[in-house]
Amino acid sequence: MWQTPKTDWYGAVDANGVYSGDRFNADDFNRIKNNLDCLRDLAVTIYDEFGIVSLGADRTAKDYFYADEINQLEANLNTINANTLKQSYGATPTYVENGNTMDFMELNRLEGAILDLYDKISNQIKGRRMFQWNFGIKGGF
Amino acid sequence: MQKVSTAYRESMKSSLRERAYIMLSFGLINQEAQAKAKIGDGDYTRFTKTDNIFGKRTDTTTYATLEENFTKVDGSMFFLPRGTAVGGYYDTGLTSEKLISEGNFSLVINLNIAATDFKGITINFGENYPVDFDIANDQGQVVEFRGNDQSEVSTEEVFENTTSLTLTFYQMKNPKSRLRIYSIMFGYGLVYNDSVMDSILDSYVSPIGADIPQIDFTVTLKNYDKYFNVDNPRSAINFLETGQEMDVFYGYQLPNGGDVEWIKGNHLICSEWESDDYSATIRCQDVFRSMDTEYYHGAYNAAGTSYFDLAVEILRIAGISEYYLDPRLKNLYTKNPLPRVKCKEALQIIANACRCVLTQSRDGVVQIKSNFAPEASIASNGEAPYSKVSAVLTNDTKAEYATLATGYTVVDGGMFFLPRTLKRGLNTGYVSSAISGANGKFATNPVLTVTQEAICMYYGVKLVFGNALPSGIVIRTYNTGSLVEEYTVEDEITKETVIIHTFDDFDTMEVEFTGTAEPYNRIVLNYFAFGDVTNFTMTKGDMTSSPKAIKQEVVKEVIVPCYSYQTGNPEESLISEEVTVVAGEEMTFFLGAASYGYRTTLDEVASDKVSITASGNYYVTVRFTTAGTYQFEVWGYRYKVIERYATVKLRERGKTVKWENPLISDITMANDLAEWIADYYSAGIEYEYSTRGNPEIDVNDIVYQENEFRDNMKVTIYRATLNFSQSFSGKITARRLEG
Repeated sequence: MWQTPKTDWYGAVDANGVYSGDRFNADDFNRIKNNLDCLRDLAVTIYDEFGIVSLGADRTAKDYFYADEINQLEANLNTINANTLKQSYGATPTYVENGNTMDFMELNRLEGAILDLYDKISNQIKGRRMFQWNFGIKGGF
Repeated sequence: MQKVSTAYRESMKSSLRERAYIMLSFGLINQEAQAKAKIGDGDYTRFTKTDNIFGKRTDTTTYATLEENFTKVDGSMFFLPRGTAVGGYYDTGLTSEKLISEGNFSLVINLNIAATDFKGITINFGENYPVDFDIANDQGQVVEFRGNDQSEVSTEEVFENTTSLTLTFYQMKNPKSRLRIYSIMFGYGLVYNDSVMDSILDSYVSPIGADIPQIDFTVTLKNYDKYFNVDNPRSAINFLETGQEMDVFYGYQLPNGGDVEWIKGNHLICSEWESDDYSATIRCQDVFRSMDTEYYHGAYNAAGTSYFDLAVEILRIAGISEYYLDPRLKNLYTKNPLPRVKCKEALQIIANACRCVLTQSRDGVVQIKSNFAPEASIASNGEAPYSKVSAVLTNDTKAEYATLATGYTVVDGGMFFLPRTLKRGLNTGYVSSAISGANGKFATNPVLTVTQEAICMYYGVKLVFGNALPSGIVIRTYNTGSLVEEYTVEDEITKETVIIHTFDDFDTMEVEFTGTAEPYNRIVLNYFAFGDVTNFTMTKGDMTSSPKAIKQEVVKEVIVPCYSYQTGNPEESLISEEVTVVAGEEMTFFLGAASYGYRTTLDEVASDKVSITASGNYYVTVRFTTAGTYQFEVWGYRYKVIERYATVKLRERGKTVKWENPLISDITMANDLAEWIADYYSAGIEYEYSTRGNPEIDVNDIVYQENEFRDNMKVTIYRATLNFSQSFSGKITARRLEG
């Protein structure tokens, strides 16, 4: 099920060093994971068949997430982009175990790219539907 | 010098000052419990590490998870390894395996000591703290916490006759989350401000490392309610222990009803305390005072050991984990063995050899920092063929070649024709190879990189431009590769631009020119200089007594020996002793002079009943395999120590200072050290005076001191006393710089 991506991620620390930004929850992980699945399904309706790597069942609050999983989400986005519109969404970071987690700018880039691809592919699909051929009607088009 | 606001600085200089404050905080820690306590087994995550929970742990490194509202998106958290990572896990303290919403969680802390009393407990849970939990001891005493809203929780409750504690957690701030514990302290922090009657903070540091730095602090607290009486069972004084840490903060009320501006005074170690019915006195000292462990591992290394590595080893032996060593020490080497000295003296010898000063920061961190004006070099990312970028560090007249750049060439005859071949160009400054476009912008901005020999801070820079002016300047400073600051110059850029800004400790400065005022121009810079090392002037208004000037004995010359260790002495008996040993016994023998090439004998013959297990130039550790009484001997060779002298002559008359640093094995370093020591002795005038008290002044600060005979006289403050008695007062001893 497609969910509207969050593209207003922010992270901030106040003057006292207290963090006051967004938090990355299981729902956010699941949304990105599932939106990429939706995006692939949408894309293959008008582009050649291709696959992305599944990241399995939805996560819950008790689960952990790993660097390779976020890398895979990025890779899935790149796969969809490469097989469809070939847009430029900036450099793809590579995360490593024990390395720093993604920041809000990377999340905005990732989810912004997912939304952008979704909108553009949806428009392509809608555009194709609206273009009608009329045969044998008197008076022409 | 500590950073303070402009409002503070101006108000402290005014004839009528505002109110002063002091705040003390110290932890009443049961150190035996703190040292021996262990967390019992439990249902913890695979990345739980409990080894350092009872240590001095201030960071809260955290792995990102999907717990409710837990993971930050500022990149400050870390990815959890899958469990097969070679590097293992970071120390993130203790984390419960299950979410607290899945069920209550308990853990047991065994103190591993005889039943003891301790006053209070402080636990750091991090941002996602428990709301409801209990702490119970093995005597059935339970302290309940309900509705907690703090990440660091503490209680003043006295836990009596305790050998273990059980912590049970019922609810977290974010329910679907795990419990985390970063640190546990058996005791709690006391904070006093209104109770302070008076205090004295006396600090001393030798600018050339002639002595170990020293800080003494004495505070007198009101005791009218007998809270500090020894006979009062709830008195905090019964739980004070030698070695407990105290933080001192000084405050100053900013004018016009402003906030109180707080400056950290220092981080010190409690040494003594006493009380009567009216007052309690607590005395504290610096971190070096108890650093008495002997360092005897000195070993000659023909390939050289870096002073950095040597200092790290000494700090490890002294049990110091937090320190700052100037990175310059990584590139300075000694071959010589460090003599048998206390660890603090070893650090002092290292600091002196490297022209550094050994101090403790106001956070109590041991630090060795360069203490001389470093030389700088300059490079660019591209200059015109006739440019001489290195010349901009010299303040002399620069020639400028006429070009057809817009508005550049003046017609007063003062510019020069550019030769077709540049065999011997004129003395030009820096001229960028890049030329700006029609909009005054560059395709690639010209960047000058100034690299200092040592890390240093400055209050500004000065840039003298030629006939073309830049339209924008961005200055970036780096400290050992890490960006310290990016500062965009917002003032108007003129031919002689002085940028007044505090550039904190850095070793590299990049000056980027983002455009030219006129299109199609180059950057032409004739002179670059760092600003002053101080922005503080001790005026007569800051003094409350006339400065007493003390003329020191005149020094004629400074001699620094450079020591070379050579072999060639005949073998001799270094240790000869009758020993009675049991099988497997180890003994360590210490030597008075640096020696090597050890072998052992028992009853005057070589024997396999004894073997050398460890040795250095000043010690031998042996292991006896068979019990008995033997005439034990260690044979070896003493080093021949040859001296060469580095000499700096100051004047014709006076005394000779021979500065012996046993680590100096390189004549270049000996010459540098001799120059440095000579600089110190060249002035030879000291000043003593009382002041109105300035908590922002550190010992070893360089400041201007008002003097009716010498303009802009600079002095190094090497002894400072700060008194607090509802207002500040102080005393300064300073040494004149620059002759």
